Amino acid sequence: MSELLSLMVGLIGSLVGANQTNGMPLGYIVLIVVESPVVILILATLLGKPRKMKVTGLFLAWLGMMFAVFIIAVYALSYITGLFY
Amino acid sequence: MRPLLYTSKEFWPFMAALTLITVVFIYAYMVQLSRGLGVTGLNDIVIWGVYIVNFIFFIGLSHAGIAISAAVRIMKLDRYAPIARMAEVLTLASLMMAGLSIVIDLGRPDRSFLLVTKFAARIGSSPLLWDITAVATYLILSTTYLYLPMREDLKVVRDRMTGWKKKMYEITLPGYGEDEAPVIKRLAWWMAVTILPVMVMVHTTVAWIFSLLSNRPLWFGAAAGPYFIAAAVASGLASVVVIAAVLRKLFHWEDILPPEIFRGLGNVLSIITLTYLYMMLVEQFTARFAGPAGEFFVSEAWLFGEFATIFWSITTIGLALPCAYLLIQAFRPGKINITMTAIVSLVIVIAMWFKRYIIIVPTLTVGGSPLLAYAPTWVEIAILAGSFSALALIYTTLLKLIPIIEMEEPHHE
Repeated sequence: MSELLSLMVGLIGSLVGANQTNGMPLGYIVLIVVESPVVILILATLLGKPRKMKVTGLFLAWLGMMFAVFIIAVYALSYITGLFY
Repeated sequence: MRPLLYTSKEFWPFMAALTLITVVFIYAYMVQLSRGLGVTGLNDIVIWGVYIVNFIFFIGLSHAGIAISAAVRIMKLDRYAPIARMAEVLTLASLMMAGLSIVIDLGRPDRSFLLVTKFAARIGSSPLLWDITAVATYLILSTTYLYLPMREDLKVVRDRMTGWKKKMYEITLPGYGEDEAPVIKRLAWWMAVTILPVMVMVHTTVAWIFSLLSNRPLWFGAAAGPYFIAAAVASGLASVVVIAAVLRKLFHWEDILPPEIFRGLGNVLSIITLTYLYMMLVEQFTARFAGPAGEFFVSEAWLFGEFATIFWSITTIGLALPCAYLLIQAFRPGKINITMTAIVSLVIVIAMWFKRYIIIVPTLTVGGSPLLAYAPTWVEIAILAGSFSALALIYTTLLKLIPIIEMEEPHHE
């Protein structure tokens, strides 16, 4: 128990002491925290019941399409606004 | 389905006015694009102004939608189900405007693609990129959360429409099957559960853009995340109250949106506003008791200096009085005035915009040098007005395209 506590204290210490912890940049922790609900959601979609492959496929396709739209929008924005320079 | 089937004679002039303001906004942005950020009141020292105020404000509005909708779904608060989709649509519209506000604030938006190409190299240490990642994730999940549970209702709309409208709704229903409802319902529950932490992280990362800057007085601090979340929930919830009251009046939804809904929303809003006032008090105590000199100077500017009028107006007229009204209403069962509830909620929304203004501007301008002065120019004011107009335009358009109230119960027809 005391080892676990000291490990946690060490972890928190390294979190507040620098912008890295155990060699991992803090941003990666933020990324994990932000994206882990999405992973849980995808797992729940794939493994949960009642399940219907058509709906699962639709859900994943919709997520993928929205992601693609976002990336395309970023590039389109760069291109269109670039016409002004 | 009333908004989809009937159009009042006031609708088109209203849309025309919104479009006109939005066109002025586009013109102002084109002026800014071609001449650079020099046409704004920003400079090398005052780097953020009304665009970033708008960004935080719109992100704040977006929180209520998911908070209300997820709470309805997870805690089975069926009484509030009629406002869930109204709130979700607000989330979507305001998130779009938040993203646009960031783009508008960029001096060189043509370099936006670097977000993608430099993502892996920068994500470790850039709070701005954390924020963009969180907002993008939230936007993608919000659209999914709005669309999937709406398929049943879109099917009802498709069956009621004829001609090109029927074909249009047909396109929105790829692979629709009559037996998909239970699966979608389960999926929607999981989405409600998983989207809440993303929602919290969005505003936490927004707060970190400010609170991780150690040399900025009144920005740097550990409590910025909860402080921003409280503001977001208050402004978002207040906006939903205003929208629900307006739609209730417009479409005569007295039976669908009974006074109890407004009482419940008002009660939560009063508690959140009270919490926010408490956080404001704590912040000022910390800044004034033993804070560094910079904190004290900015606090002075807020309380007694050039921003005192705005600060005290926000605190008293904008937050304390509406909160007092909602609390009195909460303690008087049977007495509920929906119009007044909507008005005080609107006051809270306006106060929260100005609160964001004094969070950002004084920290950058207090110091005495003429270089530190900031006043929005006509370009910024046009874009500010246009942003709100565009938000209303998006919301009204969606109102005319999708069923804004879930149609599980027959009386929603």
